[in-house]
Amino acid sequence: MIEAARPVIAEVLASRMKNPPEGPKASPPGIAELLQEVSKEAQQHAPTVPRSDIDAKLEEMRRQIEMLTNALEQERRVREEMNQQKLKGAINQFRAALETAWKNGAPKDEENNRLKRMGLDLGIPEDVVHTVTREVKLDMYSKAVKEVVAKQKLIRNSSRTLEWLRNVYQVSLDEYLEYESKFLMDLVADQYKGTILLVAADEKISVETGQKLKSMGYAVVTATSPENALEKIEKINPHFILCDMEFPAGNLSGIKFLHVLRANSKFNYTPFILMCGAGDMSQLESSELRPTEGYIQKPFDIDALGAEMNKKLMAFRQYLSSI
Amino acid sequence: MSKVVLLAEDDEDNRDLVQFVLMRSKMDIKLVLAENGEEAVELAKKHAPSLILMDMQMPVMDGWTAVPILKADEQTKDIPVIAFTAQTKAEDRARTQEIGCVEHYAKPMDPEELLTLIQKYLNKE
Repeated sequence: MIEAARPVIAEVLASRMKNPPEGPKASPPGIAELLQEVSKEAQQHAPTVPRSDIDAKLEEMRRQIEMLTNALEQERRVREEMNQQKLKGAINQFRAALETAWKNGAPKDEENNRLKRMGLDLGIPEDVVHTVTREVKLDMYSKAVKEVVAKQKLIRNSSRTLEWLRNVYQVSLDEYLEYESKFLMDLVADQYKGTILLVAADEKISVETGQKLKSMGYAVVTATSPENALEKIEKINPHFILCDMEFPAGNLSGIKFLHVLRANSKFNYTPFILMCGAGDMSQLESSELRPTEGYIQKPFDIDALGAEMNKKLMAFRQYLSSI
Repeated sequence: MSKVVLLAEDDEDNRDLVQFVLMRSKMDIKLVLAENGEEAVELAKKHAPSLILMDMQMPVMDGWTAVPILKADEQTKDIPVIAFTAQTKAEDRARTQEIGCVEHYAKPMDPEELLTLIQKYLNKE
């Protein structure tokens, strides 16, 4: 660098000697001034690479980096996918082995240990081995429960039998409670008898009766008043309507609601039961009920309600066959 | 070696249920199924079961006829037979004992109770 600057310095000094700066402020050049000038000249004389070449090279490098990054990302994705597929395959294989082992209840300890080792040998993480085992156990138990429920008429004591099954599958009470809704959903789906629209102002009655009806295999939609029921009825198309006789002032009464539905060609023969208090009976006697319509006096036993509902459903079938 | 239990029962649901319960019992049992008394007599000779569960009301040949045949045959006379029936009257119980049944088990069944009963006779062997 110094060597390269030497001829430039000489040239600057020679030119100064020949043509000293003129003017009142002219003075012999100081070292700082000289250095500044030399640096300026040196920059002008330094060998330069065209800007466009550097940009092109930078661009090329950028492209290569990008390509490499993409290739690496692609490879990572493929590897991840392969691992996922491999893990999925391993889990499926493990699950199939578990299902065979758990089909008839909890396997013995040594079989359980063998299965656990198998899962780990397949490269399945320990927590996944545990989760899949639990899932299979509960699935198999759930299937067994469904089989027993389907044959409950042949069983003397259903709850004792279900308790026995829980032991057979080593399902703890906590696990049972956690999965209860799933079991019940499955059972209800299997036993679904139809949808009931339950119209009651009293929430307690609504909840209690609703639960009992659900346990009988019905899907229950509740409404707090006839007006509320009219908003819902088109959407749910109930197979049966169960309605209180009296509602707070400002609402339609049960009888009025029945009359409104009679005027609706879609629901005019939907089986309908009024839930009456003792004081409501006089009102009922004066109104004429059709065979598909009935009443039950509160408080009522769920079996009595079931019997009354069956009568109305029978009348509805007769009505259908007469069309 | 697994012990053989013969179930003679015409109702498919009942057969399934007994099979369901036995399979989950973890007892080393091979269940042989017959749909009537005639088949039961034939299969009892063929498989020499350790125990027979016999429904008393069946088509073709009922249990009331099949059990005396089994008891009269040298090959099958010692096999304990449990009368598996919906009849619960005292005279029915007495009658099943008369024809040679060791127990009278009234349906509908209770899995644990049934398993205890089966175990009782299999352990006697």
